[in-house]
Amino acid sequence: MAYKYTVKENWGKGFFTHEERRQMYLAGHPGNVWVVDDNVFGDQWLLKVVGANKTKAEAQAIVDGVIEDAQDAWDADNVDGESSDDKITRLGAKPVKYNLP
Amino acid sequence: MATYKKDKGLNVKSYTTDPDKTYPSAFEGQLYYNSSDGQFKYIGLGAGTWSSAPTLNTARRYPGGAGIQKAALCIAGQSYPSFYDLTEEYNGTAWSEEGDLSTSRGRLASGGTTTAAFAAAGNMGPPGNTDSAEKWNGSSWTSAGTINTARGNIAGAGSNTAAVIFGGNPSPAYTEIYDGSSWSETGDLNTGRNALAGNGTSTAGWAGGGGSPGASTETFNGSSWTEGPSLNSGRSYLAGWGTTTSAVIIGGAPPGTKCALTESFDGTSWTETGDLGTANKYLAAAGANNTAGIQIAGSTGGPPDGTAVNTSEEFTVSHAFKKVTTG
Repeated sequence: MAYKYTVKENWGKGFFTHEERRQMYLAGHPGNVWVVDDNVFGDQWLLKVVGANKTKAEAQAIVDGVIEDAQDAWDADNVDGESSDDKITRLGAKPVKYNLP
Repeated sequence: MATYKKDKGLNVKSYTTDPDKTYPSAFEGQLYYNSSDGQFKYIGLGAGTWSSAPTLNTARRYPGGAGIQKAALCIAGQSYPSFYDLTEEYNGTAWSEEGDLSTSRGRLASGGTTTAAFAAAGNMGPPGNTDSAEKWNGSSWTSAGTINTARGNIAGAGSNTAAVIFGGNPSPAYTEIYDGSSWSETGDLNTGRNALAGNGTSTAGWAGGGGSPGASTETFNGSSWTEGPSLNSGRSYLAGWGTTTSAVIIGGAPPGTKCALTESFDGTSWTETGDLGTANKYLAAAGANNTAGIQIAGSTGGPPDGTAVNTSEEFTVSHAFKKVTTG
């Protein structure tokens, strides 16, 4: 399956519709990165939202950057005497990188 | 020989093409005959899908939710390091700011409707968890007393006159019920858990996910918990809505990440259905049953800052044409 990538902030109602979700794969990721099917429905959605289209490598770099920033912030956020379990309870687990489809 | 006309008093309509499947042209369960393909068919439920919905005025994670898809509340929450007392109401068209809580908090228990909701417990950052409970009458919050054990990452069900709260840390199995005037302890969850989902009523509630993260669910009958069918995907920091026979759970966090997974419960088992548009954890949700609901705020990035979102999405199960088959 081939995909296309764009960066656009979700503006709310109408950004993606039930009909569009039924027609194509769509998924949002950190950094306002969106992944859609590389087909006529994906192209129609890309034309609608007018995002900054990216290659997969460019989109992955944006996602990685957001997650790395979150990891750095997580590492730096410590409370004296706090156990690792307590830190996870307070902040949630440390973010992990993943690959875009 | 039995006929549909004899059994139901109705003739089966014949169409040359599949008819408009929306009410009032048609209704769920309607049987018809498609003369073009020679198939008896009925209008059944199709897959659930998510669409983007209006954005909230204030981005936040760990809020509480209440209400249904087109009439919902977003209660409190946080955007690290701030904790909010804010309430927003969704009327199906837009989110608007309403009366503030007395106590700012995140990771709270909540439930009810846009005219009769409650908020209880939660975390306030330093100095920790709160035992404060408040009730909403459609325009303002007033005190609903204090719970017995302060805690955060908790869930709840019910209304502003009859509620149940359960789970959370540091007492993950504790359950308390509210009778409209005070909170009292009742039967513990079978599996202690925090960062869980729950909804329903004070006499027919459910809890799911949460903990390590777990996939188990339980139902509450007003005094005790019974184990139920497991989720397909264990996770914590998820959200959910619905009843003990018709519910949905969404999003949440397998360890170290977040997910867009949505599971629907039909009273017997949990089934995966359409994913959220964006993976989300620390979110809230509202809805009446497994055919319609709304995701409210949450986090689509990682902690601790810059990750709270103001987005919402609406979940709707569409109708679909189903062929009648012989067993």
